[in-house]
Amino acid sequence: MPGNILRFSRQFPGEEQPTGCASTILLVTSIYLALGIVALIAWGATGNLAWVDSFFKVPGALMLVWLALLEFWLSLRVRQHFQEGEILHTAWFWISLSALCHLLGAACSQVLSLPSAINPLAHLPNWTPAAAHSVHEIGQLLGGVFRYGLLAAGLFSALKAHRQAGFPGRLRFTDWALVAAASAYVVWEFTGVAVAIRNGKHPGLLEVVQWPGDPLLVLLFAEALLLNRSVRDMGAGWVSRCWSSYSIGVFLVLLGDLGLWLTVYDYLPWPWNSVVWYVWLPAACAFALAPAYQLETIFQAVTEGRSNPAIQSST
Amino acid sequence: MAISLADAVCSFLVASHPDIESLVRYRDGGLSPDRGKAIDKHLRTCQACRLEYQRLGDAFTSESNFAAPESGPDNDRRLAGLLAGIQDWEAAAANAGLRVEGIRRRVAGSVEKYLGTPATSKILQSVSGDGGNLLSTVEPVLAVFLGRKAASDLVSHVAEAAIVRI
Repeated sequence: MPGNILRFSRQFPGEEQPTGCASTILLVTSIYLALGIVALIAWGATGNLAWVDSFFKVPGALMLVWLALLEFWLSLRVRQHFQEGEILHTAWFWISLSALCHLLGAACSQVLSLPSAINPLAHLPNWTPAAAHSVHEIGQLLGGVFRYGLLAAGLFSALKAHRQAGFPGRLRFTDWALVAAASAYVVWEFTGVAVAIRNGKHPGLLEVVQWPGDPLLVLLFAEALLLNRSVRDMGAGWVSRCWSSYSIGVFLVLLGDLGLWLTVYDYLPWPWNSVVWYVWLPAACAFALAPAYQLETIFQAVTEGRSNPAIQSST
Repeated sequence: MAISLADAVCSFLVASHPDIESLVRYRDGGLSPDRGKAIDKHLRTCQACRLEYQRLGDAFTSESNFAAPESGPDNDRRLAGLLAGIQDWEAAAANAGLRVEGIRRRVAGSVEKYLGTPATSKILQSVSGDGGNLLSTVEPVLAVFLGRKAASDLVSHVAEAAIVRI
């Protein structure tokens, strides 16, 4: 994998076209998912949980961090192609910050808080489970509330760009119904928290800071639905692939969140709930693919433009 | 020199200046010979009536130019040339319409892979009939999604491929 990253880094800074970037991300994710399914089958066949545990502790965790790193790096590259004052410059500014939070969150919660061989902090003499828990909580905060809030700001600018271009997405009845259901869930959840506090629960600071996570997910869900409608109105073009990927990414995150909720409330019993673990890989893949598609589209346009003899002679 | 009674009467009448109607009838040869002679004699001596008679003659000349065009080979050639010019103009106008439609189709072909077919169709709907605002309509939309620089490069290419090279 590092070879691929280096190959990309040599291609992007110049004027070369980064063809194959998105397809490489898809290929690598598919291979990892296939390996994950093999591990799942091996666990089912042998009854040895170590198959799945090992997969998610090392290769799966590294994959999630790698995808988050790609998302951050590619979104920074995309932002450079928009000038200040352009609406998508603002969008990609927020999205790149969101990607940074995703990267830091993934690093904290997938690598730096686990007692695995790839965690350098675990080798420190004063490393304790409490410290690991704190790092994990910080990772959850960065990869949750912070990331979702910044992404919501970025997608809001993207929606404004679609409206400015003449393609404002409009929610349909089913979309409204889904948003209403998600909002009702958040209200129900907050009611439960209020009841718990009234009954003597004292939430910690890290817990309180994470409360906006679910409302932000509902906001992201509404934005993803709007983007999806805009993209459908526009048709299957290269520009649409980027924003479709964000929509898919948000839907998958919501699906994973729903799976966690079903697990917590015992609607999805063990071992079936392990399927939820596999949702995060394609979700991270979708978030990495979005800027990759955008970058490929911009490079395609620039390359096509540069093939124009009039421009060649002027440059 | 003996003078007849009729001559005397006519000389008397004409000495008091002939009216416009008489001058017109004189010009057209519609007077009696005696009356015509009397006016002729008067016009030799009266400058005011001579000028009036000349003015009537000029009016006649210009009026006849409009009323009765001359027919001849020069005029027929001019008329044929005029008709051919009208036919050429009609053909050029029809070709221009077809050309704009072709340019619009080629621009759509270049842009729709980026924006999608429905989006491109929607954008091109607002292009004027003569296609004058074609690129200025497409470029701002591409600039929103690709950035101004990439959109500018792409539109230059589209203009080159779809308009200039054709």
